[in-house]
Amino acid sequence: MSKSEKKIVLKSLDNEAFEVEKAVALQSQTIWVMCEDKCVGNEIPLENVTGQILAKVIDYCKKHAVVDGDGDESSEELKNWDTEFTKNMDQSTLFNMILAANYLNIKSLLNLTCQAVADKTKTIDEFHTFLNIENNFTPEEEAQICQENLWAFDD
Amino acid sequence: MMSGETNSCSIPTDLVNDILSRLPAKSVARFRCVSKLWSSILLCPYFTELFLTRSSARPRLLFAVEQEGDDWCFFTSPQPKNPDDEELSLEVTADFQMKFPGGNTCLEFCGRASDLIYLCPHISEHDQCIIICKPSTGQFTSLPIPKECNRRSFWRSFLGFDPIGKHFKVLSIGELDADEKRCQYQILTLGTGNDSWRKIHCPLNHFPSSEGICINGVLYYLAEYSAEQRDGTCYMIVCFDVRSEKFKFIYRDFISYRDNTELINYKGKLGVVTWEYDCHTCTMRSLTLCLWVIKDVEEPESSKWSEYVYTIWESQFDGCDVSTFWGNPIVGVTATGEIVISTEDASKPFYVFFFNPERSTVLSVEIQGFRAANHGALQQRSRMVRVFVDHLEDLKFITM
Repeated sequence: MSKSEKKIVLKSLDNEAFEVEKAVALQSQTIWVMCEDKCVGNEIPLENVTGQILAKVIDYCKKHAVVDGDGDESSEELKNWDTEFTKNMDQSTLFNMILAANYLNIKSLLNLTCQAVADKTKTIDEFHTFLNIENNFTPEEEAQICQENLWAFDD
Repeated sequence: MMSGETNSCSIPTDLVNDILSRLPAKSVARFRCVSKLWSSILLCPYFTELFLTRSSARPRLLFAVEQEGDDWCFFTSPQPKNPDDEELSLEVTADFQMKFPGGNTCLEFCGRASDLIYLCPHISEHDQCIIICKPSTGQFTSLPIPKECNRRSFWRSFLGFDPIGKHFKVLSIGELDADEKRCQYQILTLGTGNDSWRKIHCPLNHFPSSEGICINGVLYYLAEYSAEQRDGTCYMIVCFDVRSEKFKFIYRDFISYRDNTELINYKGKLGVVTWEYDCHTCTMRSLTLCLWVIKDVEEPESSKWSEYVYTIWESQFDGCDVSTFWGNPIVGVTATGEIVISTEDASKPFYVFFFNPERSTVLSVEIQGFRAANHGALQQRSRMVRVFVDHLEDLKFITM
């Protein structure tokens, strides 16, 4: 296999191009299907992902790819890397990472980012903000449902 | 977009379900107050099943901690796993789950089934009631007292779960006549809307002498019997099939002391652990555990048992004095086969130990956070802690 066949170019929504090993990119089921179908050339346009997010997704895929027998990192090390990876992401980056992982269909990354949001979201306000939900309870209804779940607000 | 701003496009509902199923049960209850839509989604069977599946993959430790003023607080924490290689010490913080008002009563823990905890508060010497508590939903509910049980009669009850019919049943055994030691056996099925007790027949008169443990639809507990060929009291294991409501009895020599014997769920099978401290030498004090595991759960009366003996040295307990485990150190066994041992007093540093029998390694976990809920009260009196392993969170409410 020549060198060019092993590489693939991913192009973000804002036209940023990333050249990556095929084994790295194929962790995305979406890209895998595109390559299988030969519906794209060596350059794959990803219309839903910005360059900033795509760079992070590629970082993740590089870490998790098994390239040329180079996958000797222990699962413990990978886990620690994953924790560090999401630790300092703000809510909006996490939000976009979830959408990207979902669109690119990378199960383990989706799992990781959903867990990170669950671990970080503690208050009702954070939940409102993150999921863009409007509170449509009337004050009476809200008082009643909060009363029913009163124990959950007792710290 | 800055953190704190509202996200402009929204995450698909199934992804939101996925995220919420990873939250602690208490946060789910809190998020019911977010909106009408989410209030109904978080109660629908699809979500509660997804939540239970997730919860099964990450079992937790549940703690019942006695507070000043005889209230009890429930806490939960992640359940650490014993690493493959070395002895290790960890610190884990427990989160406050719910408060259970004890109200100057002595609380007897009668066991658990699924994520329900079954309690019998003793109001006075003989006067007791029955309470079922569900820390995952913050509920507790009291049950009617069994028929013909009054201030003068002793009674004891157990909670069992029938996994086929998916019913919780309470088995209650009352000693009607103290002189004749004649007992009566009654059942109450939860979730039927009918909260009355009905009598059932037991072929052998017996009164229980331990807490109960429910494994795969069978409730096990110890009961006394007198054997003529042996001096003193002997104990048998009673097996009660929660679905068919039939009793079976196991007689074994190894169950000779009630105080140092614990029934456990060993990877889905009935196990019996007995323990002994060796404190004779100051330098090499140890805890010896004998574990018997039943081989054939279908034929408990005639089954053979596997026997194992383990010695754990005091030095493996992260500096804890073995003799401080004065009461009942055995908490249970995790689904992966680690024997869990704990200290008992929350007014001192509190430890849970995970003993891996295959490798003879101990993972020591110091549990923190019990003090926080006490609002700075002075820690003088010893405070009991009960630990439950492999705690799952199930969001379905208790129904009578």
